[in-house]
Amino acid sequence: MIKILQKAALISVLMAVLAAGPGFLPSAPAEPALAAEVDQNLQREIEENLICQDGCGMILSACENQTAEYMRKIIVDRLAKGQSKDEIMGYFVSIYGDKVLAAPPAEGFNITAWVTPFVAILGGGLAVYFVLDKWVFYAKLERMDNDEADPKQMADLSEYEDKLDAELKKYL
Amino acid sequence: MADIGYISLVISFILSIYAIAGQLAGQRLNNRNLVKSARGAVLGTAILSTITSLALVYLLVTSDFSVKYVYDYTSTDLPLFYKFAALWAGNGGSLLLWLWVLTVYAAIVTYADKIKEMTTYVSSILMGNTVFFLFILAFVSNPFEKLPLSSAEGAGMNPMLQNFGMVVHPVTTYLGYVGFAVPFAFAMAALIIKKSDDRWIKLTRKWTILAWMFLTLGNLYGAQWAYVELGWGGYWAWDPVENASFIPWLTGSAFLHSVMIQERKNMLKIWNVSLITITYLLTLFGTFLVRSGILTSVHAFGNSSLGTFFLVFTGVVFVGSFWLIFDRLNMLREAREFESYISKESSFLLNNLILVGIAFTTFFGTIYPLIGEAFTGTRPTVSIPYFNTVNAPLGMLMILLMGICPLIAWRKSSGKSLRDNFLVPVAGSVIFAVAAFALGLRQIYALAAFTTVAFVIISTLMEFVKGTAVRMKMTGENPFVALARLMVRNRRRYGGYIIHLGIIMLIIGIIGSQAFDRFVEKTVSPDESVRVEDYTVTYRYLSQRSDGENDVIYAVLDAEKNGKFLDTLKPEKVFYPTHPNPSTEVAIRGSLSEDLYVILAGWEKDGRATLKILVNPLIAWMWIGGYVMVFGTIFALWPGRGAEVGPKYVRGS
Repeated sequence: MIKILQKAALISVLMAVLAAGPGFLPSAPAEPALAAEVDQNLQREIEENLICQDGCGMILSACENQTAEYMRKIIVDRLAKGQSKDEIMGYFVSIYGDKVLAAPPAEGFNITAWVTPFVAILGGGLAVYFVLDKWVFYAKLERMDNDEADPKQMADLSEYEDKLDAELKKYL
Repeated sequence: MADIGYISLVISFILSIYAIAGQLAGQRLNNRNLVKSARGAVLGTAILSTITSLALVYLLVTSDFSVKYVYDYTSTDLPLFYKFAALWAGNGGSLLLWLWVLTVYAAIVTYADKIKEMTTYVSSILMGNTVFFLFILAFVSNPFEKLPLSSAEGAGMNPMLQNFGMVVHPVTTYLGYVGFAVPFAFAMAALIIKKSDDRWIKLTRKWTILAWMFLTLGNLYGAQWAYVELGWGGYWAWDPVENASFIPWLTGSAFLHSVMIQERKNMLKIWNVSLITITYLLTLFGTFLVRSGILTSVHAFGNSSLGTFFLVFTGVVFVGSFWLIFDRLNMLREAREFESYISKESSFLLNNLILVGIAFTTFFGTIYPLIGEAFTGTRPTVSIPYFNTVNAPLGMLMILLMGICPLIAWRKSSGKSLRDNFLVPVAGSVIFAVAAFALGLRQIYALAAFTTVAFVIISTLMEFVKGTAVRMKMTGENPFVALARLMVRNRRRYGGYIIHLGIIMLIIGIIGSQAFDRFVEKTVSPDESVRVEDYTVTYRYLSQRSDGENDVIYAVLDAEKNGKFLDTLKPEKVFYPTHPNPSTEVAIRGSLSEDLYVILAGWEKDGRATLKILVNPLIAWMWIGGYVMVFGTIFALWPGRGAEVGPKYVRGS
């Protein structure tokens, strides 16, 4: 049904263009929210925290369809009336539910969305620490064993230093 | 032609099954002729998939609307370039492109025959993937399906896809996605034949880096397309499909770093095999997301039956590969020693933790709507604010590590060497922070981010300076010759640094455009001006023109900066006879410091127009950084002296 209406709207726009001849401009596809005297940065901030509700899944500030324009008009109207960001966001939540928010609110089960990544990385960090600790410990043990087995091992390094110099020159 | 294409598909399907069965049986029975014949089938599959792809291209270019795919994605007025690109505009065609790349890769790997005892298994694993894609194409999503009645005109291509970025984005993304199948196949083959050394890593290094480079380009072209075509001033929306190609890029990046520890110290074998397996699984999972329609996405193809097939295939690969890894765990356990807590290898572990952490966070956020719905009954939305909030601190840590890693030595760093190496970058970044603050940079996050970036730039450039100085001292060469020879003879290392510098440029673009963008929306009458900081944009008039079958409405604007004329800008709305919604063509006046970005949002019958004007600072550096990354990759890969791995640091070597 929506597709039929959209097609009908498009055809009527194109017919109007043809009928009026050159110089006539068709109506805009979706009349934008006229910028009233509102704080545009705040308007944009609100738009960046809401999702367009026609199923496109786009962030409101990025969407240009009619539903998005309608939602933008509501934001502009409410900002013009002096409402705050929280009041306007709350209004949209009361109409559409939490799904209108671009990020799940940090309450109830949705806290897991915010906490899980950091818990996982903390767990990963601990795992890395313990593994590293174990590997460093093994290396120390190995060195101790070698030192006991051959206490004079480190005595003459000159041969190795010559080899090192020769190797280094290969990379120059 | 459609029949030739479909018959080629079906023969390929049969040949690919024979290629697997013949190679495995030939290997077991020690029958070289059978193996040779089955390898011929691998080549045959590649040739036939080329014929199939060319058949579809021919049908698209000649506008044969008796074929449903051609009808769905093209029209007679579509420029030839886009008719060709329609090959990957829809489900069946894009899977055909995937298949073609996969079969060509499989044929190259099979005939290169680099590790003889592995080739049969590598080839069979790749052909196993091929069988799946051929099955899908032949029996589920046939791009050669015919319409009951041929039409004189097609439905046309989605206007948003008619952009150069969108033409190259899928190709580069697929080259990256499919490229990761090669190291995955080698890793599995190494496990099958119980070879735990790092030959498979050395051999597939070029494949892995090329796959990573193409995936980088794919993501970058996708972002560029979003920036110029979607008309919202942004470039990355953390959409599920965007995330689907970003997550394997992250795990692939982690793999590229962690394999260095295996090459140098014979460690992290289990981790590396798991990481490349996860990376390949994520490419399949990403395709599942794109094809299933399970999550709402701007980019999704949305065919639920295809999604089920991909989910099952991903599950089979997951179970099979991890069963093999667990079965070979004992074989993979070898060296377990780090000389010190503070060493380059330790910093690589942290690098892997952060990269995989960001990958996990992005994955978790992407699928969280499904988790939330399962537990609460309502599906929450997870979009830009969530991903920016959660990933920003991790990203900062990652950048910091990029600066720290080059300053730490392999094996062990002494207190003195740490002090010496960190002194200049730390002092330099502190001076930068003070200067930036004094010059008026007061946003705390931006200041912290730019200071971190300064630290990375200084520490990376110091590597070039120190290496050049040592070389000059030892050889007496002049600075330019010393620098050039230093880089050329250590291509892998300095290629990596160039890639890091490219990433830093990209990060500078992100910080600049996120922290300092300015935005104004205003409805203006003819000859009325809008000011955005130093810019003055004067709206002259609205006009229209025809572009083929399309009607274009555009505003003519004069842009000035500090009173000096810059350019005449013409943002457009394009109306298509074949699509209900018009597309936005933004007008961009770009420079290295910032982009002036103008959108024609709407208009009134009395000639007034509503303009959205953005000033996006430093955004050009994102695209420049991307190309620097590509240059660094090619530099590192270029064959010859210096491209090989560094010395091993294992006891007894």
